[in-house]
Amino acid sequence: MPVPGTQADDNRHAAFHLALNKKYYQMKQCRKNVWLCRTTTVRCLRGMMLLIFGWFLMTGEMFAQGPSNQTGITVTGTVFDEFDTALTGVTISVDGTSIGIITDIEGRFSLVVPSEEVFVKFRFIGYQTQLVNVGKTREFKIKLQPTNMDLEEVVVIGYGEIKKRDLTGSVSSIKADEIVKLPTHNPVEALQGRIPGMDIVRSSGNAGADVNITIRGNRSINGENSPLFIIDGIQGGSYSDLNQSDIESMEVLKDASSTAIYGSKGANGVVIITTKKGLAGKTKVSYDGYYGINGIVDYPSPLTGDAYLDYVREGKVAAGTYTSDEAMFTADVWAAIQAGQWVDWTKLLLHDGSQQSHTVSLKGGNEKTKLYMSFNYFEEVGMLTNDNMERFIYRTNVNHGINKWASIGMNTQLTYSEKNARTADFGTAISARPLGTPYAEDGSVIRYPIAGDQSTLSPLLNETDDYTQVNNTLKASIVTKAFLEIKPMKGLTYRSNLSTTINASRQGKYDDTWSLATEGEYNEATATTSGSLSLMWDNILTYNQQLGDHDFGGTVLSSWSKNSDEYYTASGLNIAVPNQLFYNLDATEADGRSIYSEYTQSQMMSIACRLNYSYKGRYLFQVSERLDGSSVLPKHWCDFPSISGGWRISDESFMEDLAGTLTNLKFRASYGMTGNDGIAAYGTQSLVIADTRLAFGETAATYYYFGTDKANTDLEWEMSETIDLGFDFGLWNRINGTIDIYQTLTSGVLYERSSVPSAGGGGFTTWQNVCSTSNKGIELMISSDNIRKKHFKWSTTYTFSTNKEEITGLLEGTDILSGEDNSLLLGHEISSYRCYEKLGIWQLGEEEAAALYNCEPGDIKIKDQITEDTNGDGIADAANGQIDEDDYVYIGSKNPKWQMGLNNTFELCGFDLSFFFNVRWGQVISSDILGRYKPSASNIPSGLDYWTETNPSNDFPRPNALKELSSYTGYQALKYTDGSYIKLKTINFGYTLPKKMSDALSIERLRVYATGSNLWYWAKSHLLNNYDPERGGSEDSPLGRQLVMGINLTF
Amino acid sequence: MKQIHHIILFLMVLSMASCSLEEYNPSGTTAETVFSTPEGYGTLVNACYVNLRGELYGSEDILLMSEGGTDLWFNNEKSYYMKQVTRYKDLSSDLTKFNNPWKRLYDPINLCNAAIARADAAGFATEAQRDAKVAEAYFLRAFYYWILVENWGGVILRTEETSSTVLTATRSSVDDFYEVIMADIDFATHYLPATQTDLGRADQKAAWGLKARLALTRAAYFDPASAEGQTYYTMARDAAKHVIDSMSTYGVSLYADFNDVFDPANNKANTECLFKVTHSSTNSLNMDDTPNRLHLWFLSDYSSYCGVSLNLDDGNDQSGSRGPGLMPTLYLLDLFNEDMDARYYASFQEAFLCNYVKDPTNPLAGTKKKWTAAEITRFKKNPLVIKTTTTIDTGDTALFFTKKQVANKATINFGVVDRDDLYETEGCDSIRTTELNVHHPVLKKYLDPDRSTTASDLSTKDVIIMRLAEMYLIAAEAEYRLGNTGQAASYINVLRTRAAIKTPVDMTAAMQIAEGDLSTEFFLEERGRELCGEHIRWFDLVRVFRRDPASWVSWIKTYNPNILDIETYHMLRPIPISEIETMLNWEEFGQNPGY
Repeated sequence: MPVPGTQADDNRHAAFHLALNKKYYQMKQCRKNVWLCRTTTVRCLRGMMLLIFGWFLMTGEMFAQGPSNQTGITVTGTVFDEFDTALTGVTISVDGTSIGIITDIEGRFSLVVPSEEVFVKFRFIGYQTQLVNVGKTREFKIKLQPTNMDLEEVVVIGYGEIKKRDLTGSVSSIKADEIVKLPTHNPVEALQGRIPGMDIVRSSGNAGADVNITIRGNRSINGENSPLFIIDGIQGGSYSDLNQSDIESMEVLKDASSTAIYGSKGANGVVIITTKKGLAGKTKVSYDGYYGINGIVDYPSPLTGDAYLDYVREGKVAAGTYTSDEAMFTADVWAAIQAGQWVDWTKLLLHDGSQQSHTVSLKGGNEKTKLYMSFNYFEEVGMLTNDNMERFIYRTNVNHGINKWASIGMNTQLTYSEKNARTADFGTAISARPLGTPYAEDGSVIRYPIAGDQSTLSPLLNETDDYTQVNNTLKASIVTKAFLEIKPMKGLTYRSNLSTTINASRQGKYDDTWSLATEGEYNEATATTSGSLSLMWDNILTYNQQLGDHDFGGTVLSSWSKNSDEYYTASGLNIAVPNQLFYNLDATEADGRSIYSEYTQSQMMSIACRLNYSYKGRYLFQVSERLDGSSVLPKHWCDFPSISGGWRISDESFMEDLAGTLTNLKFRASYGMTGNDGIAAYGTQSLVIADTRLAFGETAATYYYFGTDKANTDLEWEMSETIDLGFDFGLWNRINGTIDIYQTLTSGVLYERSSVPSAGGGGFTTWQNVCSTSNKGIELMISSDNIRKKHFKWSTTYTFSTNKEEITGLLEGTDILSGEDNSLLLGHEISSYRCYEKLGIWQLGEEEAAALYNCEPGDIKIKDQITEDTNGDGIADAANGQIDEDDYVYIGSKNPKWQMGLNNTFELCGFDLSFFFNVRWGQVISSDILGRYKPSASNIPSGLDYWTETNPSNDFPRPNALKELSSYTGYQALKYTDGSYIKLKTINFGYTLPKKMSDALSIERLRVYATGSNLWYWAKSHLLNNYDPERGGSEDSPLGRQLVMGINLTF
Repeated sequence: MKQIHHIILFLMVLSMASCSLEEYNPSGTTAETVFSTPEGYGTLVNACYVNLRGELYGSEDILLMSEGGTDLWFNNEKSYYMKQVTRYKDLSSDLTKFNNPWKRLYDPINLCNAAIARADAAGFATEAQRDAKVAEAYFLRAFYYWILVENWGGVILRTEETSSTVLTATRSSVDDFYEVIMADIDFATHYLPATQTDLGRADQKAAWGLKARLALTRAAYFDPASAEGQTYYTMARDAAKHVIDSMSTYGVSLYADFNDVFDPANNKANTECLFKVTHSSTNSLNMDDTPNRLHLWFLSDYSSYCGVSLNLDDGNDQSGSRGPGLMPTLYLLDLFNEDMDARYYASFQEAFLCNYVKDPTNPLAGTKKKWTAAEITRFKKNPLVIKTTTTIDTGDTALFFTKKQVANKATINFGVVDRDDLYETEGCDSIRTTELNVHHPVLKKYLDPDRSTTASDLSTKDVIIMRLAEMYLIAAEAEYRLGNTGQAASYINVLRTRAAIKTPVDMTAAMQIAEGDLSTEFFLEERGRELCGEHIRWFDLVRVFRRDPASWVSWIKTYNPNILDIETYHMLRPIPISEIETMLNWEEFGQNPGY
């Protein structure tokens, strides 16, 4: 990376550059040879390559030169910002030396300079560096002007870091202060809507729930579509177990030139998370904490009262069996109706929960040793009874300089969490009879809420007592990275990272005899322990050198990783004492026990290199190459090249006239290959599976049958080829923007192909490289300081992205059909829905037309698609007159057509207020709740507008007590609807204590705030009343609103 | 400083040196490892049986396919449950209904194919041992293919183990199917052991019995007078006769009293059984947690009326895992002359006894069950005679759902639903649309009073797939087709003698038939009386009308007038959507005609 040095030793670096090139050539050779000679030869070549590299290192000279003692003139002064406020922490140094100091709390400094000729340099992050000749002045009053902060920002990229101005790829970055603005247990949620092209939705409303993330659409079908997470250099860490206060920055790498350095794991984008480091100087102690409530959920109630009676009556009338209201029900149910015992089961299930988080962190150290430590406690109480999570995180980041050229360090995080998950059957709650007495006088749950009626079990059954349903997970993980950094000569850095991740978890489940899962039949206890161990060792060699206007940089690395997982589970039935739960499995019945264990292991190794070159910082150029070997695929090895360039147009002399207006303009272009090994370990082995659930008479018999997977030894990597064109621009130092246009073509997309069922095995599956896809899109991000006054600031950030995903080719050239939700359709998204197209409901007056389709008013009206070719010209020109398989068509996708984020922040006299809106538009939702419409069920959710002779609804067909849903032609289409929505995701209101006051209290910073999230939404489809569409269609675990009060305090 | 360079060099070389990309999988194993010993091979043959018990005999799909949509049964409540199978309604537009049975038949066929192909490599000490074992796979493959070809016709005949992706299929003719089926069953009859120690494993009697059934089915594809027809009827007769003649060898015999055949106490050691699936009383040895659900599928709505509460004898009519089940057609009920044929009351339950127990927590509750106003209305009682003070004694008949006409329905002191309440006997015998149509005579053959609780769906009773009586029916029908009507009548009379009511008046003589009574219709009727509900009716009807689909339709429409949507093409089931969607050469393969 071209981080400009201050001195140069041309000869040495020219030679080094030569060697690098040589090495690069060797690597290319090596890669070619991989295909020819397999691993042994490759190892040999790799060894040679490293020997050459090593030899070169040994002949290099040591760089160790200490600054000499200085004596001279003392100058003093004060540094101010553009509003004449004193700036603390400004670095003041004598240019060309290492003499330096920082300003104190009043912005004052005092510095001894060697002579009057020297220049003093004032540097402060976010301000333009000023160079002042000492001359005769002894007392300075310096006013620093803010810079285009954005450009000077250092962003972390794969195996290195770079100034934003020198980037050639598409990288978005979010810093610590932004991340803590959305208080949540999952720091990635803070990125939602803030990074164009990154789609983040919460996976459920349960305590401790995760998020689903994709960057620039989906490429893979069965494989991974989530980005690769790199946490402090460790691949594949668990971002949801990070404490958000520990995070220094998150970088999202989107284009292939940025991610190709991660090769086979880079296809879905990369998110790099860097945690905080210690600082030399005064020890800072911070406390970040919040407490809030979770709840106020929108969720449909079941029908009750007259609406319920109307629904049941209509069903009986339609079936021709209506005589009287009383006759519609059994005596017991009727008695409950007469007594007015209406129950809204969903209301009884949902309660308001809470969440709280407390972090104490410490930053400190001296010149040699720097330390960051933190402790976090997080607790979330979910919206269901006994759905909660508690988590402790301990982090220590330490860095120690052994001498001038070597340092070591270690980042360690220990996480412990305990989670209780409640299984609540929302489906039952909205479809059970809404009647009865839910609780006895002592508050206990009544099993059969309708007296005398044993056909309706209480949907609250799992809340009967503490033992009824237990799902308790304990997790502990230790993530440690130790590193050694050596700088044997100027510009050259060698870094070796060794990291281990140890995860251990235990999940215990118990369902008592009368729980929703067992319904009086048995009780079941299951205990599962699993553990995983991953080891990763990275060796990275970096070299940077400046030769006049030429900046060179090179990175060479090797990486090796191994993951293994073990899984043990045991379960048993009918334990005698329920409160033993899953802790005493040997008390279960001998008959009915089952055990299972599994071991999985995979390995991967890689070598990669990257070269950068820039001329005058104006013309930027980068190439990289990675060679990956994965144990999972039969053809282990593959290479991933990339190339990119940038042109800082605003630095050109012909742009000088516009310098005040167009403060930044850069054009970027990149091309690269990334991959996806997409399948799990052993995905290509044909295995047989043992089972013992068989007997002849009472004689037990073991049987082995064929596992579902049949091996495909021709399987190859999924490869993505991405072109990205980007513009970065800045106007008047106030508006910064980025536009990216990209196209990703993915070939050999891995798909777990099902054989025809007649081949046996329930439809054997085989991994195939089945299709190619394309993702094209535009991303835009604009941030603007609309008003920038001393006491009032208003800034706006706007993001927009659109992505067109398309299957461009399929193995056999025809669609691969697999039900409504999993078909692969040429020309459409991977996650397409294929179903009947619902036009509405047949209305009165349409009897004749309806009869053609064996329908009558009140039935579902399905579009009879044009599928018949009547005149033989090969073009379909007529409908076939019946609703059948031919009328199944593409009806949309779960991917949004476009997304937008809009954030406005106001600051006034220490108060700050921000609103964040988020829009996802054009996606189709497959809604469980809409699918709960049943013409003859015990009940349906309210708000489903069904047809009756007096209510010409076009939403749902007429109820009929004698019909099942499947009796209605086209019923499959009922659950799909437009899922577009606008959401006010967060409002943040805070107050920061003015500096004078905090100084008086000898604290560095104090901010108190209140945040509301998930506050308001508007869904385009009227069918999504009372349902937060971000939940994506599932009826379980709805998303709640959060109101949180918090404090950030630093001493 | 040089040392540093050495260290860096060493580390970088080391990082590259020690890596293998081979997959290490200690918890997985391959077919070649397991199936190469006789014991391991035995586990593959075991696998061939699994679906038979876990997915087919005991669960709904195969029951509704083999008994629904025939002249004998209709949806209880006139519901639309599985209407595509029970009523042929919407069958052409909804091709999903046969996904499961299709898959559940082809899965074990692949395992049978594997077992047949891998027998030589299994390391058996002798050929005899090998043949005796692999014969089980041959037997099962013949059985599975018989179900397939009789339902779907000439579809996909796979005889090799699947080893990689299969995305295409070709059609084979019915002749091709039967070539494989008959060769398989010949192998099985030749090599299967006379008896097996394991209950439920195929043995000689099962193989000969199946051969009789297969040959009779196959014969019906030909003119009875043709050479093929005569060959297969002879084969059917010989095979059935072999079983009948070898009863003592095979340890089977007819119960003297038809009531004993389906007595739950005789279920596990039924002397009449030729082949069955066993469901273990140790539930962890059953593939499905509720392995036998047949006891739920013929029930009438009885509990909580007139003092009959849910009880073990009458079955769990409140089960959540049961759809509206099957009720008998009037045709089925009228097949029986219950005054002389014991099979009616041995097969059907009409009366339900009051099991009222005083509620100890309710001091107001009486010691006897009182009629409620709702019950009086429901069962159309004369409110002047049956009042809310009228009581029913515990142990007395409380409900009576009968094929007979009951004269004094309105005044009799129990709930009555008679043939007039249930069926439109004027014009056509269809089931009435009334709230009373949930109260009907109940097929008793699968009732299981030995379940653990009244509300339990879990029955582990065995399911008989073939029993000795069927051999008499097959022998009789084959003899009839071969022109030996006298012999045919005598086989039938064995069963009718057994079925005759013996007390108080012995009806044996009245039950005898003469050779002149025999006809195609007679065989269908007799099979209905003997085998109703035993997973065979569909096969009987398509067999008998194999060469005359129009008569198949009119027969079913005549005797089950509730079925309105049946067409001749329904004689073949549609290829299910799961197969269509996956098959690349679908256009060429083609759906069965009519769909």
